[in-house]
Amino acid sequence: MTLLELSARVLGVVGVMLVVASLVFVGPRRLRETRADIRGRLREAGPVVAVLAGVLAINSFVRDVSTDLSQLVGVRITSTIHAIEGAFVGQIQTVASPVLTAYFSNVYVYAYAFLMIFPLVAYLALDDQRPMRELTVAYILNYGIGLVCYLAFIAYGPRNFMPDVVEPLLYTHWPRSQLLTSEINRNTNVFPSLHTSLSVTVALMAYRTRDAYPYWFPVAVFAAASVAVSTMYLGIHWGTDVIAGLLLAVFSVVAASRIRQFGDQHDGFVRERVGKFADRLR
Amino acid sequence: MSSGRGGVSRRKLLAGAATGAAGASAGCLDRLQALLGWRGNGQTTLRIKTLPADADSYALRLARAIGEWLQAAGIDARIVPTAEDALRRQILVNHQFDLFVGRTPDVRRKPDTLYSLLHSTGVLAPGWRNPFGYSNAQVDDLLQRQRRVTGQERRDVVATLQATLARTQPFSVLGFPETIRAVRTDRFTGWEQAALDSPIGFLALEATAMAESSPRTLRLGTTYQQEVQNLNPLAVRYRDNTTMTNLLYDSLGRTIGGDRIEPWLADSWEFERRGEDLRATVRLRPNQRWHDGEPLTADDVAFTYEFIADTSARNTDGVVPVPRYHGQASLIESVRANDLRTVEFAFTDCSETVARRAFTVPVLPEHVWQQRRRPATIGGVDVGGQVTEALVTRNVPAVGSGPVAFAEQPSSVELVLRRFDEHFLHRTDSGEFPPWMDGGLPFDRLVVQADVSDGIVVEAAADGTLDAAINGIGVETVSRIEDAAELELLTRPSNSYYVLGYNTRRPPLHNYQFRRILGRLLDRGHLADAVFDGYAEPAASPLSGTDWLPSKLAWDGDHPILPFLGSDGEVDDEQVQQAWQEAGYRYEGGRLLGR
Repeated sequence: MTLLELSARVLGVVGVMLVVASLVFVGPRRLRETRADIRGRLREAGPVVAVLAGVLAINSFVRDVSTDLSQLVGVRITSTIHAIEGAFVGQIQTVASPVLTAYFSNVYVYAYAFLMIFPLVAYLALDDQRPMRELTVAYILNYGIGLVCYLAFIAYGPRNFMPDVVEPLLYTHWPRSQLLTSEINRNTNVFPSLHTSLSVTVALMAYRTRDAYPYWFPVAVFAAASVAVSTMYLGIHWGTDVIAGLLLAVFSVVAASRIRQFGDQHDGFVRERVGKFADRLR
Repeated sequence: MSSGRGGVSRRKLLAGAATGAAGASAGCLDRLQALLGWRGNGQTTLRIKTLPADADSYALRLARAIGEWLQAAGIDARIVPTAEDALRRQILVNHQFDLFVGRTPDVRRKPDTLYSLLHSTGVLAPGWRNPFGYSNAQVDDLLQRQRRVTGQERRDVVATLQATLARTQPFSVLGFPETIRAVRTDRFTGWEQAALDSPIGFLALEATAMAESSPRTLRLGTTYQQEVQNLNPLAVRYRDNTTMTNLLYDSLGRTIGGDRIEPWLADSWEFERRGEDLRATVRLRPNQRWHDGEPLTADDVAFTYEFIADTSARNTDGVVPVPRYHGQASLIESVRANDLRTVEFAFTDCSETVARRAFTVPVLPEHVWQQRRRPATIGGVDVGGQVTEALVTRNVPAVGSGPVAFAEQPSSVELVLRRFDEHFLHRTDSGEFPPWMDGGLPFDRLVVQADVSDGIVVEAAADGTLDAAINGIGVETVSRIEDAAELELLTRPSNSYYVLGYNTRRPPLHNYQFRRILGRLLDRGHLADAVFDGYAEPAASPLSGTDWLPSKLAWDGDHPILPFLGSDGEVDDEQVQQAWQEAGYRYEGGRLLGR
C-alpha cells in the first residue's frame, strides 16, 4: 500500500465518520437549513477559515525547511524532558495489550482526523457563527504556537530516545502508518503534542457549545482524552508534551474567545474600512 | 601525496565551509556546553551522540546501555540523539563531541584500512579519517611498517598494531552486526551467495521464468534514503553505504573472496620493483565507454587518482582531498597515462599486496568531474571556497562506467537504474573472464525504493512489491520476516562494525588510562545478546573475523585485554572504584570527580 492508498483510506474512513456524526449530532433538519443558507454562513466564517487554510499551507511548507533551521537555532530538550518524567511513558506501556494497541492506533490516526474536521461541519450548521470563528482562531493559534515551539525546541519522542523501554507500538502494530505520519511530521517535532492540543481545543469548544450540541460534548471529551493517552501509549509523545499541549489548548481557546469578542466589537469599524477600500478600488 | 600545512588548514576551513553558519553557531554552543560540562559538584560529564531509533535500530540502544554503565561508574553520562546530517557535521567535520556510537564505513576489512582511520595525519581531516583525533607515535609507525613489510613480518606488525589499539582504545569495538535481509525467491534466486556490496554479488543472482517477462526488473528496498538520493561516490557520509555507487562505478580492481584484489576494469597489471621504487603498469580492457557514450581512456584513470588527491582547481593554493579515499591516495606517488589503454603507477614505499588496494578507487569520467573543481556554494552563495563541488554534489544523474547506468529518479524515494549493455560484463569482445565474472547481470532494470522504516520495507517485500529488503533491517523485524511465508531470512556478516568513538582531543578522553576504563565498562557480550539479540559478534579488534586476528585477541567470552568491570551487564562498584584509583582518578561517593 502506498502513501496515496493509505491517504485515500484515511479520507474514506473519516468521511464515513463525518456523515454518521453529522446525522446523529447535527441532525437532518439543521443540515437542510445549512444547505439553504450556505452562502451567508460561508461569507461570515469565510475570512477566518481562509486564514486557517493559509496557516496550514505555510505550516506544511515551513515544516519541510524548519528541520534544518531548527538544527541551527533549536534548543535540545530531550534530556531535560527525560530528567523531568523519566520512564513515565514506559509505565503507561506496561498495560499494553493487542486490543488496546489496535484501539489507540485507530484513535491516533482516524479519530484524531475526525475530531479536527467534525466541529467545522457542526459549527457551520449553527445559526450563530461565533463558535465557528472561535474554533478557527483557536486552530490558528495552536498551529502557529506549535510551529514556533518546533523551531525553538529539538526533542525526540520516547520511542526515539529510549527504545529499550518504550516500544513504537503504532509502527510495530501498523508499520505503514509511518508513511503517513512521517509525511506530516518530523521526528524531532514532539514538544508540545499538537495531537493533544487540537483534540483538547475541540473538547473545550464542545463544552462551550454544549447547549447547541449536548450529546457531542461527552463524545468529544472522551475522544480527546483517548487521543491524548494514545500519543503516550504509542510511545510517540512524552507526558510533558501532552501537558504542554493541554496548556496550549486552554490558552488557545481563551485567547480565541477574547479575539472573537474584540473582533465583534470592532466588526462594524472593520467592515466599513474594508468597504471603503473596496469602493476606492472600483 | 603530500598534504602540507596549507592542506591541513584548508581542510580545517573546509570543515567550516561545509557547515556554513551551522558550524559556527553549533560550535559556540558546543563550546559553552563543554565549559559548563564540569558541573558545580565537579562530577565528570560526558555526552554520547548517536542517531535516533528511527534512523538506526541499534545505535541508540547501544548508547543507552553504555550510558547506564558510565552512570554506574560515577560519570554523568547523557545521551544526545541527533539527526544524521547534524552528526556528520559534528563528528566527522567539526569534531564537536565527547563520545559517539556509530558504524564504521562499509569497506572490506584489511590491515591497511586502519591507516586512514587512525593515522595521526588525519586528526584535522573531515570524514572517517581519524575522527577520534588519535595520535600515537608507535601506532603511526606500525601503520607505515605494515605497508612495507611482507609475510610473517607483516603478520607480526599487524598483530602488534591490534594489541596496541586494544590497549589504548582510540575507539571501542562494540560488535560486528549481521546484515539482515528479507528476500523472495519467486522472481530471483541465488541470494545466499549474493554479497550485495559489490557488483560481483549481483552476478550470483538468477532470474526465474517468472521474472523473464520483459523487462526483467529487480526491485530492492532500503531504509536508507541517502542510497537513493545521493549517488556521489566521493561524498562525506556519516553512515556509509555504497551499494548503488559500486554498481554505477567501476574500479580498476575488485576484492574477490576475503583478501584478494583482482583486475576488474583493468585487463591486467604488472608490478615492477626497482630498489625501493614500486611501479605498476595497468592495461585497461578494450573499447570501454561511459554511460553517456564517451570513450573511457587511460586519461580518465590518471585524472581520477590526481582528483582524489586534490579536488580543487589547479590555480588555487592548498588541496581539498577526498577523505574517503585518502588511504588509497596516500599509497600513490604519481599516475601517468602512457597511451589510451595503459596507465603507469608509481607507489610510495609499500608492498605489492598493499599497493593493489589503490586499485579499488571508483574511476571517474574526467569530462564530468573536471567541472566540479569549483568551490561549493550553498544556494548559490560562496561559503568560503574551501570545499569543492565534487565533495558535496548529489551527482544525479550519475555517469559512470559500471554494469548499471542511471535511468531516472522518479521521486526522492525511488531510483531506477538500467543494465548497461556496453559494459565489458555484457559484451562478447572483452576478452577472457575468470568464472566469477561470467554471466552478466540477470536483470534489465533495477528499481531501488527507500522507505521510512524496516517494517514497511519488509511488508513491501512480503506483498511482492519488492524482491528483497536489503539493508537497515533491525532484529525487531526478524519475526515479521519469519512469519511471512513468501520471505526468506538471510543474514551475513557485515564489514562495518559499531564503535564507541572517543574524542581524544578532549580531556579526560585524551588520557588512554581513562579510555581503557571506559573500554572496561562495556559488557560487549551483553550487548550482543540484549541489543543485537544474537545477530552480532562481540570483538576486541577491528580486524576480528579476518585471518589477521592474533589468537591473544580472540574473543573468549570476555574481552581478552579489557575484561568487563562486573558481570552479566551489571557494573561492580568495588571493581570500578579500584580501577579509577589505580588510574589516578578521584572516585568519591559514587561520583567520578573531574577536578
